[in-house]
Amino acid sequence: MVYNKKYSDPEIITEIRKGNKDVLVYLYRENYPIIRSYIQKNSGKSEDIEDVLQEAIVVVWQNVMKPEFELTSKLNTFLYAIAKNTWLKHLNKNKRQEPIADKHVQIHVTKESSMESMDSRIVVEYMQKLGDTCRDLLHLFYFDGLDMTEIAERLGFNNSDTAKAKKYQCFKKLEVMVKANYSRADF
Amino acid sequence: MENEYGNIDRFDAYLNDTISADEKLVFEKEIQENISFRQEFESYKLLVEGIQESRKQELKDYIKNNTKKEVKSLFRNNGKFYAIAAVIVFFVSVYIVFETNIDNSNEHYAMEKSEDTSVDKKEIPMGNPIAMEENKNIPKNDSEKIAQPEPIENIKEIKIDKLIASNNFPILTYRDYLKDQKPVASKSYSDNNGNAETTVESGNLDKEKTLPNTDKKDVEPVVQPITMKVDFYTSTDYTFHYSMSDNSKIKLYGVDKDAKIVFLHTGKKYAIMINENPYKIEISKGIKALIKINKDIYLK
Repeated sequence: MVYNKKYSDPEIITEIRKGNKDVLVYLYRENYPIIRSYIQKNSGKSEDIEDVLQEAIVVVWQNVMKPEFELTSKLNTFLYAIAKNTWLKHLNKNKRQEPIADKHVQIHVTKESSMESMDSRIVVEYMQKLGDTCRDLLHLFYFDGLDMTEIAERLGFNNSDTAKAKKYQCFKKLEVMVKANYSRADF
Repeated sequence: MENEYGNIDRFDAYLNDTISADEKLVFEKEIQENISFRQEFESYKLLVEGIQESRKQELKDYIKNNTKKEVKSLFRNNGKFYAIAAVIVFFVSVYIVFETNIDNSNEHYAMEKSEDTSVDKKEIPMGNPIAMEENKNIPKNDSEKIAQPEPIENIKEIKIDKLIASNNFPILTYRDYLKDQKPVASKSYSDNNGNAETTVESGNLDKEKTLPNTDKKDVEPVVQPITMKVDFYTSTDYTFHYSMSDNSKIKLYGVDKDAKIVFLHTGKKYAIMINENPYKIEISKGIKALIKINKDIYLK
């Protein structure tokens, strides 16, 4: 990826749907200044900026991957709204100083980003122990929302049925690994 | 109801909302009534949540790693380029400095561009310098007169008897100067200081004036003499520069071949007028950015 290249919103959406993670870096660089400004004006620190912006970009990624996704504003505006929402939830959770109201963003974000829980971390830990193919397959199905035909094409399976069988094997493998080390009471 | 993939397919379909309304009702009823089915579904949801968090972390790590790598690789991949570019810039700078003949033995004076509308605003192209030596033959009485503040109407003229060329700055013959050719090799006789010398006649630059034959390389170069005069009460700037050596030898650079050059000195102070725009020359080390003559400054 040429880091100095400028991407239009349609190009960004296309690249995300192709699974090009470099576009995440582009979104990060493009939106860092404005997010930083917002965070710093609202009781935020430097480390908060990275976390919020990364979270927002990932939410954008997940939303764009949905077939029904339709961009009704500029992508940066959409990302800004997600970031602001993420930061507000974080502030409310930590009961910090009330943030300055931002009256410029009109987009209402209904999709909330899920909070990482201790239970999830156990699974995340064992996801790293799966093979690359299993990990990618599960990621593409359960997060990116690709169907088996798309997954088969991207990961090089013969057909969607082969991909589906592989997905089942990988899921069961993960389940066995997690349950072997943690009892039901841990969940 | 299980298939070869157990209940995972049903769980996927329910969470992705890809089942019919009737199937959804059946599923939800089974969740409520079948404990093991419900527990299996809860375990499934936790695993899915973990898979989603794993993907999020992977994407975040990609952003984090590549925003740092971008800076490093930019330097790593282009470090050699920047190093080579820096070396080239260095040598080009040295070449430019050398070509502009910055001589430690001389004092250079840069002049500002003229804002006088009567003066050609275009920068005079760099030409070969015409070295002038302080006229040591000026009668004392004339020098004393010159040293006094002059009224605005008076214009002093001093004829330069000699035109000195430095070894560093080859001097053109008049013919070459007009033709804008390369200077004749400075194989002229040398003065006691090792500088090439040439004699000049009084008068102004005149294209039509003929000079002795200078075709032979061993013939001392001859340069059209320059009559210097200055108007004390006019202040304009011009774009050219000159250098002043320790022994008061003045060298002009970038003087247009058609320029009317007038030089005046009082013994210690100098003035030069080019195309009737006067400039005061201060004999001091360093580069002077402004040489301007106005009514408050006297050649004294």
